[in-house]
Amino acid sequence: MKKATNFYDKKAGSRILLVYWYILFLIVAIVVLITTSLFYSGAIDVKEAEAKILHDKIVECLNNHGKLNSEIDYNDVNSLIKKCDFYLNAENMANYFFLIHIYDKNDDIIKTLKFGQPSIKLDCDMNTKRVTGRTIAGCSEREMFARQQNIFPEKSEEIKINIFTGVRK
Amino acid sequence: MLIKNKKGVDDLLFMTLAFLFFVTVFGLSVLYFASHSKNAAVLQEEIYAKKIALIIDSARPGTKVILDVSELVDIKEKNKYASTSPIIHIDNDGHWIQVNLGVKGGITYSYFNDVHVVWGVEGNKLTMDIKKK
Repeated sequence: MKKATNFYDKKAGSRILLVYWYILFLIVAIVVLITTSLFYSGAIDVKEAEAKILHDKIVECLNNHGKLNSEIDYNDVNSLIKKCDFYLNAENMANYFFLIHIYDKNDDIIKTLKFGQPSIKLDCDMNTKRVTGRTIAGCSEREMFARQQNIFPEKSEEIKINIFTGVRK
Repeated sequence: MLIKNKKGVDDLLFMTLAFLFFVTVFGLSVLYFASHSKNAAVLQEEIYAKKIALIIDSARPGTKVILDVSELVDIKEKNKYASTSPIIHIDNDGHWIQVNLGVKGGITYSYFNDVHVVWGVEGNKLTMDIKKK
């Protein structure tokens, strides 16, 4: 009689253990479901790649064999947009931003050209990827050096150009 | 006593088999879910729309690009509910690309390079001839 009681106790114990197994599997299933959903819910992010292409295109049209392109009117950003063959206008200015600072050799700003939504730069400066795990805007910032003579006559021949580009779609 | 033991062994065998069956079904379900959690058509629409936009953005006038779109063609052919609309459309005036496999109306993505794209899909290949506007 005593043995039989033990046997039934063991059986009951293994059943309880089995319930725990099922609960464990349920937890694993929920974790897989949530992780996979989070992984695939994000869009494929090409904003940074676009910002780099925009950057390269600006460098390409500002630079004329090491000299600053004299065909651009540096008082008018639309002249740069036209010269670079960009389709950037009021319709899509919320998606793109570029900021160009031209410095003389004393690091004084000679000219600033900008287009688009300045808050894109703020999104990049905040480094949202580190905080949220996702990029709100893709950005690129680099410097280039060039020479100029007649574009800014009273300024130094050697100039530094800082170009920042950002894309947020 | 013998009968009782035999019943216990039968119970244990049944429980073990049931458990193994459950584990197998569970494992297969998780694998199936993980591999099919995002519709392949929607994913490929997004990949190709953005890929084509980046190609156009980075291209200089005079560039000719031939892109293999066999993945898109295969998905469209397998999907019997797909609409008859073209897989790819490039709008030169609006500067956008639409990749549509007929599942959810397609994905549209814009580009900023102000060029004229002469394009066409022949078989599994998309040809793009980038020209100055």
